[in-house]
Amino acid sequence: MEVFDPRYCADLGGGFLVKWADPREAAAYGALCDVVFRRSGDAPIRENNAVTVAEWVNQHPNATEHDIAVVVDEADTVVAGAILLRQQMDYAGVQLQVGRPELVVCHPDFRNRGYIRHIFGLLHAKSHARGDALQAITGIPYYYRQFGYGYAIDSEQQCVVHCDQIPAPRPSEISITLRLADASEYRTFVALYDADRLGRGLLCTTPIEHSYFTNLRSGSRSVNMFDPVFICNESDGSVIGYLLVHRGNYNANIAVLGAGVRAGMSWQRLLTPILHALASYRERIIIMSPTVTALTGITFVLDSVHPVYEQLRHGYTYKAELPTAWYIRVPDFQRLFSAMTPILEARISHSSMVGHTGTLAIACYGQGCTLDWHDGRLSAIRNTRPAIMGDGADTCLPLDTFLMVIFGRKSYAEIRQWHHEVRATVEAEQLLGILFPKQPSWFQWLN
Amino acid sequence: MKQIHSEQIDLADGAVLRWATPADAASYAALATHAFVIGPEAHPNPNVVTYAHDLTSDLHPLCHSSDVAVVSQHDHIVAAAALMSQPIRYGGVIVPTGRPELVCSHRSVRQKGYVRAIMERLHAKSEARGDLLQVITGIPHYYHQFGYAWSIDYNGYARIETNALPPLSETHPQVMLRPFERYEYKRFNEMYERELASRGLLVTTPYPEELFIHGIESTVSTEGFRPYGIYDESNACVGFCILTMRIWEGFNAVMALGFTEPASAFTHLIPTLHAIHAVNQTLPKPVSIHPDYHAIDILNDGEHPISKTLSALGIPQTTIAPYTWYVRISDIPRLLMHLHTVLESRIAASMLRGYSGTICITFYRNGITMLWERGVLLAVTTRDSASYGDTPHAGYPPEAFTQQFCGWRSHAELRAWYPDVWATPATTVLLDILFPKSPSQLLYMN
Repeated sequence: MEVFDPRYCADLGGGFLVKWADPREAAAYGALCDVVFRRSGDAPIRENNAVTVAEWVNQHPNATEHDIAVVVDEADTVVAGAILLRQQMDYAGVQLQVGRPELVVCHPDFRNRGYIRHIFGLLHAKSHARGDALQAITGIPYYYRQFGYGYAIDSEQQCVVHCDQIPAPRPSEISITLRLADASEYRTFVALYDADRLGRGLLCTTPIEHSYFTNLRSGSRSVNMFDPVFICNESDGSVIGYLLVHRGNYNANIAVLGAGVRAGMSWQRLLTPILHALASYRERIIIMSPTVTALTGITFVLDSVHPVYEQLRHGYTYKAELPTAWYIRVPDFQRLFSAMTPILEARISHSSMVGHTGTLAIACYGQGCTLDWHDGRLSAIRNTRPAIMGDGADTCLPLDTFLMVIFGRKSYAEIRQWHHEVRATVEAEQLLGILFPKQPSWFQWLN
Repeated sequence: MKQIHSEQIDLADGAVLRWATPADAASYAALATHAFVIGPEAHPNPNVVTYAHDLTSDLHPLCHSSDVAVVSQHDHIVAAAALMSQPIRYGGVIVPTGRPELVCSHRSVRQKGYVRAIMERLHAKSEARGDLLQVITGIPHYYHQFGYAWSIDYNGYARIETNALPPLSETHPQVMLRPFERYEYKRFNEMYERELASRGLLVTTPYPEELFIHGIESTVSTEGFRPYGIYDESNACVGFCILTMRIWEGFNAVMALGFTEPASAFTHLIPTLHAIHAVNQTLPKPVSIHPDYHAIDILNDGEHPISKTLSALGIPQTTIAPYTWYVRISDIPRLLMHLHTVLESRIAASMLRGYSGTICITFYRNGITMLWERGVLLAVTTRDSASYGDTPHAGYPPEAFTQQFCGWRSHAELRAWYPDVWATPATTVLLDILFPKSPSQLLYMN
């Protein structure tokens, strides 16, 4: 039986099994998350994760109950688990299927036994079997490196504006209101959302499908999601922009995960009214932290080049934090680059190497791939097992740095400056710069 | 230590790991010339032959034959590596350091874990004799698997083609080079140390007198250095340089260079380069397929001012980007306590003079706690792997901490690269004071 078969089950010894969850185990997994994901052992147990898992299992467009891997003991008690969500990544116009492990949990009494490693074995096998080009995860610093992930896409550049420090409205500014988007308003929403994500030179973004939007606005109650919110002109009610507002609190703040306005609308004129509107919107946010009694600020969790951040630099008081990054795992370069072929060929055709013919052998110290180019076409892609020292390769670079290059987080030149073990022939360096330019991304999780 | 020297470890298939004797010299040399072949034609490497003999001769001051671990199979050495002692100072304090060197295995036994077994024993021996660091140069990426992290720039050069040397004119002072004699160590070392001290380096390399004499009198290897005095027309010593001993790939390297008053680089560099050029033309070229001698490389690790000086003098140069030393720290608390005077002096010179407090740092699998009281480092202890809800003040992947400790990267640079490097605002200030970004120059001491 294949690992990704829903009936798969393996004995881990000591009476413990790793398996795909049935409905009862899925519910137990959600409850385990609520117990473990508390700030302290004496914090009250809330049910937000159980609700989230129930939605994933019952009605979610990106998950099913068979996507949850668990470790159970002899009494069928779930002691560890994780789900594999489905998500799309728009990589410069190419749609990539992504497997996204989420809510990774292990009861403290059962840690350091390798259970999460076994669970990831199942999730990765399933992700590969269903054709995902990569896996992506956020979460515990350092931890997921051990499963082959590297930090490859910047994420969650945060800026916090305290509500007491929002500038007073000026007469020239537009009066606005915020309202939840209705389930029937997908087309209005996606027009604004796509204009925002596709119009700012971003490399990796997240398409939001109709089914996901509908689920958010009609079925979902989970506090681990965001709400699509419209920015409306108060005078006539017309929609002039959108926000993605997290349903729960970020520390003592309301969190904005996405923001866009209609073409021709000015952030310089809109930001202050939007901040005031968000300050009023705070009362709709569910406060999950027992230590937080009231929300006092607005956290923007956007990409590093978002115009909100540019505008904040002019006359606003705010606190900026450094971005973190998505962990990315690419187990099969051939699959990834096959999916990316249209954009890779387009980049060549618009470059100084138009019509390129030649082979680019990439070695990542034990893992690698070869790209054969013929007249500007990517004629063949092969996974390789290059020699440990990369003999014969045109470029040699550690796997985690190659992932940064592929997903635009760092340029080859930056990688070379940082990692002196990185090398490339003159032609390979030029080719890498053309194929994988440094470019900001906004890859939004879809819970 | 005696127990380690006498150990014989069965690695299966008739392979045994043991420590070498001088009788193993020829076999180690034969293995090395096989493993370090040159170019796609697999040209034998004569340099490592004499080097292997030197390391197992019991004459090398930084390596005894019993410091060479070998894997012997059917009376042949099939894998081996030496554990040299590497002279290192950190902020002026000597740090006992081991340096695995001439690591090799026969092509027929690779991927069997023999080098892993050797490295494990070298590390055990290094730690048993009190080393606080291990450093190594060599195969890209490979030594990460043994706990090493890139941490100190190594072997970056300013390259001067000999046909681009400005001609000597009547305005240039006359200069000649003469190798130092054994009795001239003190004179050499004063100039060598003065040159290092002038550059504010964090990690530096003391030049032991024993190695100085070995290089003059007893070495059979061409892998080492030869220090020369720079003399003016009145035969006064106005500087020094350290040259490698053979032409390699068409170059010879100047590993250190300094002038003393009244000479300076502005007045004496061009004639000194001509004098070096004259010496280089007498040096052996051990590998026949290498290009003939055509350029001088001058080491510019540690932000050496040579590149700017060459530019100022209008001498064309090519920059050879540095490679990097791998550094391994097996016991961070012990190392930091050994260096407590350096750390305390940094606190004393900072705006946190007299600091008291506790700093907890996670390296994710383990970590450390530093206890400070009134500017004195009282203790550094190991933290177990973090339990859930644990709240350290900073976090580093282990390799990132090694890089900041060695001054190779600042905390801000590391944070921009590794999202899993972090610190609370107050701890960031402390870490910047304790481990500032600083240039280093670590010479390999073959």
